Amino acid sequence: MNSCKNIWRIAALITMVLWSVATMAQKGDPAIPDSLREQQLEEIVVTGMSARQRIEEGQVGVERLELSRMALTPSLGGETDIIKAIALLPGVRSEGDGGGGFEVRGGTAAQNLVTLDGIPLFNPSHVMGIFSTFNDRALGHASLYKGPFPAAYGGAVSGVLETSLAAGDMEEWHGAGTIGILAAKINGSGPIIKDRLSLAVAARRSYVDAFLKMIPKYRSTVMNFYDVSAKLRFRPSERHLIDGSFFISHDNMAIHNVMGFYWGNLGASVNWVATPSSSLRFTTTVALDRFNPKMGMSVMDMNEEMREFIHSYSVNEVAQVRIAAGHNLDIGLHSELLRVMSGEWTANGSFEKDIRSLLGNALWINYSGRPAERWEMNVGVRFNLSSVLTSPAFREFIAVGRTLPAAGSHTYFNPEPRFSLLWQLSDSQSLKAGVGIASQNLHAIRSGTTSFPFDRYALTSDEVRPERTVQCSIGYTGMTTDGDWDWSAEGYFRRMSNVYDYRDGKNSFSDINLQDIILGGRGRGYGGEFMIRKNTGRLTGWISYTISRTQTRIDGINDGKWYDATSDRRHDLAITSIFRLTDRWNLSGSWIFSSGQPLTAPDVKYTVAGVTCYYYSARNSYRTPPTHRLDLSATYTHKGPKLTYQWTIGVFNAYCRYNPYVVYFRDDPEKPSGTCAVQQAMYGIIPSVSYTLQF
Amino acid sequence: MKPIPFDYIPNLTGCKGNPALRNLPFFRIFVVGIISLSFCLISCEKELDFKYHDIPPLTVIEAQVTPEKATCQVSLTVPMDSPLSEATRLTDATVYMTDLTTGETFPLYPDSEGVFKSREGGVIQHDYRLSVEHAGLLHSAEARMYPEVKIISSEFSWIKMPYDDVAVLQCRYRSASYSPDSEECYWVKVYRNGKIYQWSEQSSRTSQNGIMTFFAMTTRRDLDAEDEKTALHAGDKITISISRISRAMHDYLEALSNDSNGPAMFVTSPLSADTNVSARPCLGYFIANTPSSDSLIFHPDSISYASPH
Repeated sequence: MNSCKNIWRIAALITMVLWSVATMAQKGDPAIPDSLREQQLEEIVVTGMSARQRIEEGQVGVERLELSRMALTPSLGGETDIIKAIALLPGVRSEGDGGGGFEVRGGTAAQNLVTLDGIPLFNPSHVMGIFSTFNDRALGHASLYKGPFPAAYGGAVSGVLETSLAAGDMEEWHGAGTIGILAAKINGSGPIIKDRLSLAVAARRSYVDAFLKMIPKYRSTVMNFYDVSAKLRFRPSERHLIDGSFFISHDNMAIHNVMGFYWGNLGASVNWVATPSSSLRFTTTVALDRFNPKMGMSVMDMNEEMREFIHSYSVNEVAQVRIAAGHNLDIGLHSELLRVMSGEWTANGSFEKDIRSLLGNALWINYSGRPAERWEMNVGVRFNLSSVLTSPAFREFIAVGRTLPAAGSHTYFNPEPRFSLLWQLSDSQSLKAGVGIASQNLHAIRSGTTSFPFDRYALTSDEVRPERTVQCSIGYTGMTTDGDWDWSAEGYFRRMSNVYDYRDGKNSFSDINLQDIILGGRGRGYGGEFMIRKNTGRLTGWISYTISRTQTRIDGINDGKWYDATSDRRHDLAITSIFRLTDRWNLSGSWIFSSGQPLTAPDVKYTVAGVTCYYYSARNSYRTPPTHRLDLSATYTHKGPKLTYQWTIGVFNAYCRYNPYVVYFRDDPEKPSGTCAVQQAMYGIIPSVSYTLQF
Repeated sequence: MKPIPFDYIPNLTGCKGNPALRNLPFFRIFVVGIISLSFCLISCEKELDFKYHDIPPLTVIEAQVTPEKATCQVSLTVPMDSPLSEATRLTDATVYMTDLTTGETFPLYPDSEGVFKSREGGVIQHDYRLSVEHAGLLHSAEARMYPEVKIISSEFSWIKMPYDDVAVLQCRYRSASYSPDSEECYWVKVYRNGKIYQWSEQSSRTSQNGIMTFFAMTTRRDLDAEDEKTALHAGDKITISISRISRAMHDYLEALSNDSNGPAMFVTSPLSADTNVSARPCLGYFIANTPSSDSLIFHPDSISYASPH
């Protein structure tokens, strides 16, 4: 309870600070509306995928995300979070409290490809999933692929979230700063050379620990994160465009002089778009990302440290050819060097390490076009060639009492056809269908029910085969003639092979050689997704519902029988509403419901050396209680001639539902059975307030 | 709902004993650290009304042979809704031990408390097989009697956690047969005033020059906030008992610490090909044990803080 009171005190303190800043900013700023600025803001709101575009979208299972609309949805701590916002869409779900990833159609978060300007990001979240890595102020656009995705995308078997940084304005400088209850962010963009060279920079930093230090018993706690993104755009001529993007994120969680956890992504990319003619375009992308988690403990004579890394270096070349009006051919080449250190352990002088590398090459080709009126198709194939690298420069293994296992080099060839078809029944209705095969070489082996920065990663090798999925889906979309309402229904079926999990009794740190403690098997999933949207009027929003099932079967686990996958949720429902009360006030609310998560719970108990132990007859044969939560927010926007300011007040988990984060069992002598099942929740009710100033 | 008492660490920690974090290999470091840091949020715990599945009881065997004697307890598992006190020892089993090195076999007989015993002790570096016949099934497991380890030192220190000071118990020991080219496994048990407090398994992978370090978080300084099962009071006698164990037993104990079943130590087969009894897993362990022990008295006021590195 003391923690609750302190949080309220901190919230009140922040509110007072924000109010002071806001008052100072408003001085000398007469409340005369700037009509041009109002028009610009309205344009931003309109941007995104309209109902018409959803009807006519030829690719099944894709969502072109309306970032401005998502920014209006309530969020934890007032921090707009694209990951939490996309979890309001059908077929997409956040991992749950404590996890920062998102799950698509029953897959795990690690089965998604998340990119930022071509930079692959790994574990893109801050502070145990409280925030995503994405600073919403820095983003330009985002697309989510749930279904069989186009041939241009590889390295993922579940979903693709493709995002890009907003480029700097070539005409004039803009900027904004936001102070919230947990973090502050600032961004600026503008021309360095008008119409030729622009820069956009965004940064964010949390300061929870600064306030924690005011509370004596938390003085030794460190909990902060920061992220910085920058995009330099150079237009040397009308036919060439070069973007240089940079991104860094870092998390620190520590107990001073005892233990610490650090992780983050460091990425950069150069994108060069050349348009020699109106029917030909080349896009060259060179990108790298380095994900480096590290943790350590030093107490008395115990000194232990663990490090991991995922390093990706890639080159991508795409040629887009317009064969004829309405017919396009894309051809691409992709090459990526992946180096993965699944673990480097230093414990009191002992040292163990496992590094593997893989060279992945892909050639893909895709045709998109309208073969007939009201028909559109995307037909493509991606040929993946993945080569395990075993030379000393790429493969290192050090283990106590063991030598490097004889690792054979191996090359995997995976052809991945992708097909998507649209039949527009009328101007307001369409049917879509798609089928595709996808594979990935990076396998996150989770120790818990959500992804952690310190999950270990297995790389495809002579023993660990690429994960592979075959997915087919069929969908229907419709809208009213005026576009006020639109709706969709989509069904899918997936078959997965080479999914991996820990052997019974093993965890991340049972053995440095990850391959010795994991087993591979199969998975399957199917489901139906439904959505209805209201797009116009004062009240807008959507309702999405998903019913689904995902199962896994691995010989050696659960007696080789099918069991519900950890990512399985029977029902997911999200209701989101945005109400424009006045020109200045926007109210929004979202309510989510998710069925209980599979849980492996004991069936009987016994003692070993006097200590209670449990026996589990089946994996994931129980369910946690369901999760549901109501989030509310109110936004006040004042647009002045030079400055625009905005107050956002929100309540996360408004009716203080304690949703399950962890369920465990312990001895309880006060109970007749002697055993107590306990649920821990991560959040109670969390209020927030933030102030934004824009110019 | 009460705030989280952060000495209750959930399934993820793999701590066995009273439900507080004890031994700290990496996985547990991470879990206790993350959970300790997440206390900053308004978190809560509550009891669940849990409906457990009914399954037939499983056989549980706890057996050991020391240089002085051999003992074996045979019981059944208890439903989650029942107290462990209902677990009765089975005395209608046939128990015998075979010295695989010499070929000798000797029986064990139940005493008045239902514990099978024999005055035959074990010999260091001999291999043994325990066999238990019960209900048409034969359960057997093997173990080697390893030399005892040498405990070098045991001590307490305070460390500052976000929620309170916590007493950390450190014990350093070495094995006479240690070799950097092979891995040894150990079972560390901690007793408080003669009763089990917690246990953990270790591997020599993390040894330094052959010296193992056992490290466990015990009681917090504020005893009013500490659970009585984990609280250490001034004057409590703490005894650390360490045995070298087989890899199979280490893996079994590790699985229990990870709240999993793991590989069973016992091999179960029908006694006769004619029986219709299905071979269900047998739980428990068999250890050929030469424990070393060390004791110290807990004096909270005379314990110093661990110096930062």
